[in-house]
Amino acid sequence: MSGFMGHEPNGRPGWPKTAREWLFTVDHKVIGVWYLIGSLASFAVAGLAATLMRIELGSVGPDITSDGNIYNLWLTMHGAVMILGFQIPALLGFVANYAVPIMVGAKDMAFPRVNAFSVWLLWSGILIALANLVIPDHFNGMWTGYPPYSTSDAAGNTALYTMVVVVLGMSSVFGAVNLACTVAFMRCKGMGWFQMPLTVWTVFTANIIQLIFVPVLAASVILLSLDKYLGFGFYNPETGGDVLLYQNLFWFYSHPAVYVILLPFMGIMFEIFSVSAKNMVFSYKSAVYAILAFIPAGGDVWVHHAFVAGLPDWLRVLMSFTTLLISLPFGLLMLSLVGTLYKGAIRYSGPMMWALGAWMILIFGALTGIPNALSAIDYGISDSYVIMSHFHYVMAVSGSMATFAGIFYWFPKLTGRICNETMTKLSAIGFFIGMNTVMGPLYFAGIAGMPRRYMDYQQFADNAVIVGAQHWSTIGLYITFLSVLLMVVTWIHGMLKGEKSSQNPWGSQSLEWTSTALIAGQGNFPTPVEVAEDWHPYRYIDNPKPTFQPAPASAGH
Amino acid sequence: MKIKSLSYKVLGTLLALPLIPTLVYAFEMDTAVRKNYNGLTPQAHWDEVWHEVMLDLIVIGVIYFAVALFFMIRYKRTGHDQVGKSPKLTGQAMIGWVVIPCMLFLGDDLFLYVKAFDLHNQMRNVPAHAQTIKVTASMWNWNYDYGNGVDTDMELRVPVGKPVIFRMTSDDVVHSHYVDGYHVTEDVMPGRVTWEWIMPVKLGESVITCREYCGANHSKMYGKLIVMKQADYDAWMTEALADAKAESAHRVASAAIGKVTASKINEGQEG
Amino acid sequence: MSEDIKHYTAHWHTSPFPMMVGFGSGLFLPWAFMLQFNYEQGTAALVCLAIGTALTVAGGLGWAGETIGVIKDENWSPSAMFMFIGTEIMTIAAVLVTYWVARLGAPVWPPVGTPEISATEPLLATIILLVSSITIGIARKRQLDGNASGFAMMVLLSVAIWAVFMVMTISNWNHLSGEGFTIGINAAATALYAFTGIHFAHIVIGILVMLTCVPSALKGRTSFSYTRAMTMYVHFVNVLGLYVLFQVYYW
Ligand code: HEA
Ligand code: HEA
Ligand code: CUA
Ligand SMILES: [Cu+2]
Repeated sequence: MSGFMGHEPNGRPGWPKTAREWLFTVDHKVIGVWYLIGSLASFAVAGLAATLMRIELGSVGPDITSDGNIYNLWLTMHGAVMILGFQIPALLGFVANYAVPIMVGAKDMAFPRVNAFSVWLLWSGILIALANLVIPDHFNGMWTGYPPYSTSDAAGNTALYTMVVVVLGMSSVFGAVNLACTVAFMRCKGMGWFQMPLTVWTVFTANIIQLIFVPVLAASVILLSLDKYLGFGFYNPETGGDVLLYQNLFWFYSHPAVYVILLPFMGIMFEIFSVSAKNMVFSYKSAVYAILAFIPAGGDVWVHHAFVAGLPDWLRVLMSFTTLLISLPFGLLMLSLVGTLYKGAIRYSGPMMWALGAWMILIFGALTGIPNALSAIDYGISDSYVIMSHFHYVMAVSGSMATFAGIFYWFPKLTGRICNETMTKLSAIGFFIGMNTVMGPLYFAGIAGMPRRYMDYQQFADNAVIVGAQHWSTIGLYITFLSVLLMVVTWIHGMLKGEKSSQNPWGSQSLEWTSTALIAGQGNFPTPVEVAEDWHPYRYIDNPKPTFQPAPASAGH
Repeated sequence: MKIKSLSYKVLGTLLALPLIPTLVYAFEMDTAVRKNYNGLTPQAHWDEVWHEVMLDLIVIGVIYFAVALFFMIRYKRTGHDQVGKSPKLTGQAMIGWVVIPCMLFLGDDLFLYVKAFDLHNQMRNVPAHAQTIKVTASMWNWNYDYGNGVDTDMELRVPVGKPVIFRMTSDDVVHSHYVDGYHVTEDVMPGRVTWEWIMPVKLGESVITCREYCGANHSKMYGKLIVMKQADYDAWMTEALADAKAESAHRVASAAIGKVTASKINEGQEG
Repeated sequence: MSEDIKHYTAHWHTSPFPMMVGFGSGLFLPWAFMLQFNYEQGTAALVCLAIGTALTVAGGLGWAGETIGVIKDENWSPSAMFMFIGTEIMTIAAVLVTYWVARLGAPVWPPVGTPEISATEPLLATIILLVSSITIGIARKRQLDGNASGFAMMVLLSVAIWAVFMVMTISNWNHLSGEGFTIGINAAATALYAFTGIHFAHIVIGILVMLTCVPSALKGRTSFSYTRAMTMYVHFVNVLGLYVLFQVYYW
């Protein structure tokens, strides 16, 4: 296999060599790496903010700051950067750009230059967001930015918030159009819609969701700045505006956004489960339909974030029901994941450990969404640590574990080397234990009444549950911190000193491992790939091999 | 042909599955019971539903988890080039694996929904004889207006055994009024009046906190609810009324000065 | 503008232009806004605005010069533009919803005390605007006939029409605020300025999009898929203008 990138020695076409090739690249893989770097940097920054917050919350009373605005700055940065800077770019940037085009057998994205434009918009957005740490009037209105607080002077630089969201939103929209065209038009010859890996399906669907809903978010935050700086009155009750309008618009996007995050990371889990068990994904077609079902199912439930916001009662009970309906497609996906293990031949590789951890967290984390969805129950737990724990379990813990599983999984393609297996597993176990210790106790603190976004909890100083939970949670943070550090070390070690990987280290059937060099060069495939009608990315028995169309005379100029 | 049409009938019947718990529940509850919920307070009702929901979810979670764990152990790879051997689903099996789980999920959803709907009805229907308290939130204060000229900051006293409804609005940003132990939260915002009600049945204090982010001192915006015996409450109220009267008399006397200072203060706040 | 990438090539394609547009529009323009409105640093804002605009325009021109008529067309641009217009419609729908909520919830409309406003000037402006749909159609026809410079002329004519529309819009804003109908007075004014403003922003972007393909067209290079996508956008902005007119002046 190694010879087939001909002119490159030992199967390593390698990465671009010059700074110009890196910076001015229009290649989807290099752009994918830029996305990855951006998102990991965001994770580090937002994770350090979480570290500071947890240290502050470890005990009652001020620990490292007594200034509410400083804590709120950390929290705003943590929430916004984790979601907009880490999770979405890692999944819809890195996975979508790096893996998807190769998985569908395309030579690049449909619009390579637009792709480069998107990644630099992402970097612009991250740079603006980081500026929030140094400007004097930092924005502290939380990632949700509710008016009228966010349009008041106390919130700081609202324009920065608007700009970050708009710039990242533009980046997402262009990226989404690009990816949708790639998947729709550039699949290799013979690859039908039902022969696409589920990673492709999930990323594709997530991008459709982005296309439909991001604009609404952009509009809602632009109106914030118009209100604050140009004297418009959309959200100002005094001139006939309405503060609740913002919440409706915001959640109309931001609920679907959680599925934008969920779907791709479940796609990664499907990939790894199937490869590790060497088993066809259970009920593949129903999984595809379940994924698609998230588009309508996610679009009509936003009010569940505003159950206690004074909306009419009929709307609450209605959206309570529509929210519950999401358990159907979600349950089917979980069923497919478990079913993939049935009669499998499971190998517990490093990425599989991360993915399994993600699965275990996901089942319990997603189930904690159900009490929130029951409007009457939500009256008691809304905006408490119950909610906080819920979304960290699904999005932060499960989501990060699956994302990191993906990074470990595609690591050989990125670097040509494999990460040390023991270190990979150790960091997975550490992260699993650490984050459970952080978020588990906080669920009970939430039941005991602990509200979100509190820099201190003086009023609960004699509530043993809350004080104890906060204490243990901070201890959990230290475990998490160390395991994240270990993970970073594992990556660096793997990149420099790791064992050389073979062409297809996990034994996958998908095109990115079987039909191109380990580190593919520009254009990805030697000549256009073609798959047979009964080829399937998840079939491990008698799967016909992808073939290559005869090379046109001009190949490899 | 025969087998096929039979299986469609089976699948069709399964479609009715979700109705079962709903119907069970509907029959179980007669309207008279529903009306006063057997004397159940909203908070006790909430606890009950909460525990049922938790039990339900734990059962689902444990089933999924146990099956997965079993597969994980049972199907560990042993040979080097061993591959998975999951059976290929027939078309009908595929439909079955969608319809049956979906109906089960839907059934459970409806079951939970009906319970919560009932709870919702109780929590969102105020008893006729409830006492009204006007709540005004501001950064960072809770003001309780008893409607008779008495008002307090950060502290609310109510007599035991009498439902209380809060009619709430905000002077500045969005806040959220949460009374610990009563499982009620409702946002408070400018330009609208929102409400929630509680049924205090136990003497003692509970914490009132703000649950919507409202700036630097969001976490310090807490007060307490004090539930008192009717007699104690009356005594307190008489005293408070007298105080309020004295104060308003004082205010009338110094009306001219008062106006000036008040407008000054307002300007200062806005600037 | 899809890149003419062959499978399996030995060297990496590069282009500095996407980065220029990205940082120009994503970094400098937002800072210009923040400096102007949040920090009230007029000069610094102008500098940022100048850098941002220069980077964006130069990047856009370079980008177009590098792709239009140079790279083989794959005809996906119209589909992409179709999706993009879809997202645009969602954006506008979001603002519309805020408007309808305010309007349908209000006891009287326009709110009491709103100055009378006249619709003749915007009506005239919109009629002129709509002419550009015809000119851009002719442009496309010229291109199909292989007349690249005729195409460029018609595009420039459309740009000129849009510029006239911009001038008329600005003068209309001036009249309105002169009559006391200023931005924040009530929901009706908010809506009027928001919708006409959103439309105005589209006009600005549309002009940039149209201008980018003129230099290459003058050199005789055109791209069918780019032109199709561009005309779609132009028609969309025109329809939007018509819609805004009816929504805020005639309903
Ligand atoms: C990846 C992210 C993610 C995911 C997947 C979810 C999934 C779900 N979430 Fe969550 N959620 C968030 C991220 C996420 N959420 C975030 C970030 C917030 C807070 C934002 C903020 O305020 O800052 C939030 C807040 C939030 C609220 C608002 C609470 C409040 O503010 O008061 C609610 C309320 O309904 C809710 C519900 C749900 C539900 C019902 C699901 C469902 O999708 C879960 C469905 C899945 C299952 C149920 C498990 C699998 C199914 C089965 C095993 C089948 C059988 C099960 C049954 C029949 C019940 N979430
Ligand atoms: C994907 C999203 C995501 C992720 C991954 C996380 C991860 C974590 N979160 Fe976060 N969180 C949110 C999304 C996320 N969170 C959101 C949306 C909110 C709500 C915000 C709001 O209310 O508005 C929130 C709120 C939130 C709170 C609530 C605070 C409050 O309400 O007052 C807390 C408190 O414990 C918390 C903790 C943590 C912790 C301990 C982690 C840990 O997993 C973090 C682990 C990471 C590290 C420990 C960093 C490791 C770094 C290194 C080792 C550095 C390496 C160094 C270099 C390379 C230089 N989070
Ligand atoms: Cu008031 Cu938070
Ligand atoms: Cu949601």
